[in-house]
Amino acid sequence: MTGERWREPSRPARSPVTASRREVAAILGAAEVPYNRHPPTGTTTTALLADAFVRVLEAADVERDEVDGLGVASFTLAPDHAIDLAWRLGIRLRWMMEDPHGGVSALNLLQHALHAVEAGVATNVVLLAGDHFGPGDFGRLASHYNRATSERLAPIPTGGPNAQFALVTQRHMARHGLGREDYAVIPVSQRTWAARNPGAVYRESLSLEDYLAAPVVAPPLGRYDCVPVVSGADAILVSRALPNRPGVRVRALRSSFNHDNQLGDGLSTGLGTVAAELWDAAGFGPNDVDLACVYDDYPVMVLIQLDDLGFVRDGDVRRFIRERLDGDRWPLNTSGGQLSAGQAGAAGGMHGVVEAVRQLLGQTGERQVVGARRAIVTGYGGVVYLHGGGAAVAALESVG
Amino acid sequence: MNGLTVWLCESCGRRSFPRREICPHCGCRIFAAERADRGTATHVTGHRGVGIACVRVGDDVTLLARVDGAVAAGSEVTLRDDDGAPVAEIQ
Repeated sequence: MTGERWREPSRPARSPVTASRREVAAILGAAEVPYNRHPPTGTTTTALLADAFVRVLEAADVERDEVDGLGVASFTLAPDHAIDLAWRLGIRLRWMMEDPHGGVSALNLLQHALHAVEAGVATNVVLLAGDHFGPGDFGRLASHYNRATSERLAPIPTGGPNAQFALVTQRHMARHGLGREDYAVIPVSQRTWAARNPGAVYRESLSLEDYLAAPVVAPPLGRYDCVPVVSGADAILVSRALPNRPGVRVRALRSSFNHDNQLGDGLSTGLGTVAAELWDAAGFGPNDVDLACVYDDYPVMVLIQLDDLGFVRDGDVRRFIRERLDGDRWPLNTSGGQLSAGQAGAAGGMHGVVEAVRQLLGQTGERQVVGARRAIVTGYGGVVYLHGGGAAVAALESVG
Repeated sequence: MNGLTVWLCESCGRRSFPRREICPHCGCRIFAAERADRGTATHVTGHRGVGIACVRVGDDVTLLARVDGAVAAGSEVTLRDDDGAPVAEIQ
């Protein structure tokens, strides 16, 4: 055989899988490829994910050859899968997974990556999420999100999830006695944070009047209740926690899938079924959180998730909006959230993780929450038929 | 076609739509097709010129349907199937 033979790159020593000692995992870095409402010709999903990969290695100060785990969430990577991406990135892996469950995929990947590192089966796991929607791509995704959508919703045509969440919002309004001006508080407040995020696609100020005057999308939802679709990608790197190395520990992560069999009204998520366990495992509670990144595909879902997690005293959503959310006093979705920063497809669930990690590492510049040590991040998605079937939440704390 | 096919669980008699593989209420796997002709629109919205209603059919089924005509929240509607799309119209 001629030519130089391929050699296994050198790796740090690791304990065998059967080792009794459990490793301690931490998130060492996070990165986002700038979102783009109108991506230039030639943009591809694979290239965006590769950009996110390179950026997160730099953020975490890890070499490409040290990466031995890869998780990916992307709607538009098909027909490629994680292994094809590994090949394009030139990395050799011991652990790999893919998650197609939309807004809940990032935290699902994170949960499994933490287990992999803690069990010693992988040392440096990169989690990527991103999408580029070319002409027609978003429409195809919206019509073929799952079988129930293809067979029973696309023929209507519902035209994507706006109609479902308009109906959820109507129910929520009636349940809690809210008006459109109450929901407006979320996009308006988040926009004040977006003004301080150079990566947000919408940064100019948004007033209540702007919100109410915007074109109707699906009553009662208007333009500013719906996320702008962008092209972009996000990444985090999960590794072993090292002494004197700044990182973010995941104190607890809980998920819930198909909690109500689609027999409920969509006014609760599975987070309510895991909240008590989450706070117990995290060792802190809602009052100890310095910032929250709550999955904001629609303002109503932010309110529902915060209520499910115990942030809303006595279930009084109306008072909670006025006392906690109005203005930018409480750090909620400090990137501007998906409502202002944009939703890059399957990166939607990773966006909040990246923001929370960067806040806890003190890397968010003008919008830095001073002294932030503890955060929660949620994901919500996997719209099965009437509403989302999946929800997850992570309690994060800075270390090192 | 008039009416919409929903799935009646042979064991507990409750209905599902869209079809499930296992009854969420009792765990039975055997369903009979049943024609549902009527329901009540509980909420109505619209998107890109298409009226869309949340329709309650009996005690068990909540479905999304295209609205045909002046359907409002609270309207009693008749149901039909238009090539996979449930359609709700005023009786």
